[in-house]
Amino acid sequence: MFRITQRSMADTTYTNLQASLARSSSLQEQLSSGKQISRPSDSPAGANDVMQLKAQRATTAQFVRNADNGIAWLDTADGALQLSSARMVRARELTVAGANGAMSATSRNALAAELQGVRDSIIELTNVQYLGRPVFGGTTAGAVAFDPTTGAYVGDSGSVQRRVGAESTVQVDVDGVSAFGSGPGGIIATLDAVIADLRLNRSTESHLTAVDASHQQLLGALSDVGARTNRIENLKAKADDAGIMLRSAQSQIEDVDLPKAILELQMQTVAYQAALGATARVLQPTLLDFLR
Amino acid sequence: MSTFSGLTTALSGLVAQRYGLDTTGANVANANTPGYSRQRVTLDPASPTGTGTALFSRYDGPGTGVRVTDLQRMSDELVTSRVRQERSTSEFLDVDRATWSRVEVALGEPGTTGLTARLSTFWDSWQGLANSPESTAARNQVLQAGAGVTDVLGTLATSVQVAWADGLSQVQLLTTEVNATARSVAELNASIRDTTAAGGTANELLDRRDALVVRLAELTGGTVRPGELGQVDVFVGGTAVVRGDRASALALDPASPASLAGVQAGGSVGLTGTGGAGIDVPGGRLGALLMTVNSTLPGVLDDLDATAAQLGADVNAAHTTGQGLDGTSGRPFFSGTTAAGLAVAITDPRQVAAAAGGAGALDNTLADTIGRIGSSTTSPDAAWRQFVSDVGARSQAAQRRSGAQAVVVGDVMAAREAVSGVDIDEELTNMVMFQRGYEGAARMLTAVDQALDTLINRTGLVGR
Repeated sequence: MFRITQRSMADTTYTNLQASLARSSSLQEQLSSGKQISRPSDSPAGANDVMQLKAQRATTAQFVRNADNGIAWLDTADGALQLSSARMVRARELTVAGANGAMSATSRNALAAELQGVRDSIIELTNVQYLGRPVFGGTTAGAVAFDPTTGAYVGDSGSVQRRVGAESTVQVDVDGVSAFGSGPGGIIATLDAVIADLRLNRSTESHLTAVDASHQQLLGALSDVGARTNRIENLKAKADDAGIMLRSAQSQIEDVDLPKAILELQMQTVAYQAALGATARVLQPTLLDFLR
Repeated sequence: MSTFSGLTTALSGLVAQRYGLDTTGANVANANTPGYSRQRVTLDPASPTGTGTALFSRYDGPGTGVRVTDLQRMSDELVTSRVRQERSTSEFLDVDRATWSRVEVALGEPGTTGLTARLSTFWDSWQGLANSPESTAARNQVLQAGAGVTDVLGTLATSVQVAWADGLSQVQLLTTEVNATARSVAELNASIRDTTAAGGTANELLDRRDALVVRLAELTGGTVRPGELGQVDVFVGGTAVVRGDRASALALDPASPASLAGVQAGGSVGLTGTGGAGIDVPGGRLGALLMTVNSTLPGVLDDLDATAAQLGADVNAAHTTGQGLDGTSGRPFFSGTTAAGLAVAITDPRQVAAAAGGAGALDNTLADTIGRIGSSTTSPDAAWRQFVSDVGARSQAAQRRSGAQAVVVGDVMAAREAVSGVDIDEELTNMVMFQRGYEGAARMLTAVDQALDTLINRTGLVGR
């Protein structure tokens, strides 16, 4: 027969009470921290997933920031190109006026003066900056993309890319040469040639084709910028969605199921109280209580 | 059978019952003494003519009373041996659990302060640099985030080294305790031998000795071989630390490395016995601590170092191909190849390479490339996650083993209690029994006394 002594009962009771308390403590910790996994051993595989999801969330949030930055670049380029296009419309009108054979030298000089203003504002626009960098200058470290006097391209051929997805980058600058041309045949050289003819009181008819071609080039760059803005905004929305999905996936693994945990804690408390009650009853009487 | 032998018989009853009462008293007094084994009086009826067979004289009367022949110590060597074995295993697993728990808490994962979070910040800072390679602020951010990563790795390496140093000093402390305990066991062995040889009872000495031997087993996982006259020999890994009344001292092997680096370089912490021979401690606290300092913690540090080395190599492989704002390329970003030694090698923010070699000054290709290292499946991040989940799994397994062993120890202790424990109800029953026995014997004495009174004082008075 297995002898049971008062001490072995006390030991067993104490062990059981301890186990019950330990379960309560673990549930309390989960409830107060709101996390099922507070150290890797709580769930090694879950911890791995949580860490990976956190890293992915950080990356996705960075994609969104990159996209915001890229959109600002593209907006800057878009604004400059729109304004340039508006100026080119005026430049064409002036060129058409200068082609009128009956025009006097005084009038042509007046046209030349206005066209000079247009030319200067366009050169201003080609050197527009975002946070100190010329958006048409590629990866140049200089402050301008085009030489303000000659209109020659002084940027480089690099392109500015923004990463907005694990495998997606979007070019957010505009190649100055493809938008405005450079040197002979470039938009500035063309306008300079028109101005020179106007000052010499010559007809500007021969330049109309070149002016139109330059404008077309501008419009082409503009539509390209529009397409890329569209693309980067789509990718940004995608990254935003992915961030929400990752958050919810992380929450499913990591966060405590509150109703379930509260219910378990409640049951645990009841069990603990029952164990305490039983202990108080069982350990009290000995033969001593009945010997007189 | 003499006239007065009734008195002697009653007296032997009084003595025996009182002996029983005293024993009950001792048991009740020690009801809660750890390691105490209850004792039981063995009573024998006293034979009237000694022990030999009578050839020429015959006696057919009753016996001449009772004799206390033995004070039996209720203890089962099989159970005691299981107690030693299971408690030794329990201590071993407990140290292992504590070690892994300490390591995993130090990792700080999954949290906002762990390496994963710092690495994310680091990679994001490169993406931030890709957005504005001209900005000194963005460059400083990269340097700060890099330092954040090396800080965490350095802190982790330090905490592993501190844990190792703690382990080593524990080994030294426990070795001292083992030696002191072994000496006490040897001294008690000598007392037990002498008492037993003189025909006395050494029950309390045996209880104390056995408790100390259990402690020795808890410390070292040592095994016990019974010797002569109640003595025991204790062996640790085949070497006797206690042999009869002689104890031999353990010492830290002088060739043991004094730092974790020494273990990484191929050394190992060991113990030696008398004469400097190495001792292989098989279990217990000491065995577990030796495993901690010789394999567990060095393994953890190796993994940390591997993560640091991979991080440094991956970032440097890309960084050296790029050029800084000053147009110079070929500079590594990190220096060092260990968790403790990894540091950001660049101090001037202009030297951080964001541009691919030969590209424009404000090119951001390289910053983007470095910023994407963390997303690859072979990244240091992935290796780190693997390591963390590995530590978690080991810690979880250690917790489970230790918890299961606690149940086994509970069972074994209950089995010991069943054999050796004091049951108050039983003792009270015995007390009542001996009390009544004593009362009976005393009454018997009175009865004999009265009978003799009648014989001596009232007989032969007729006609006086």
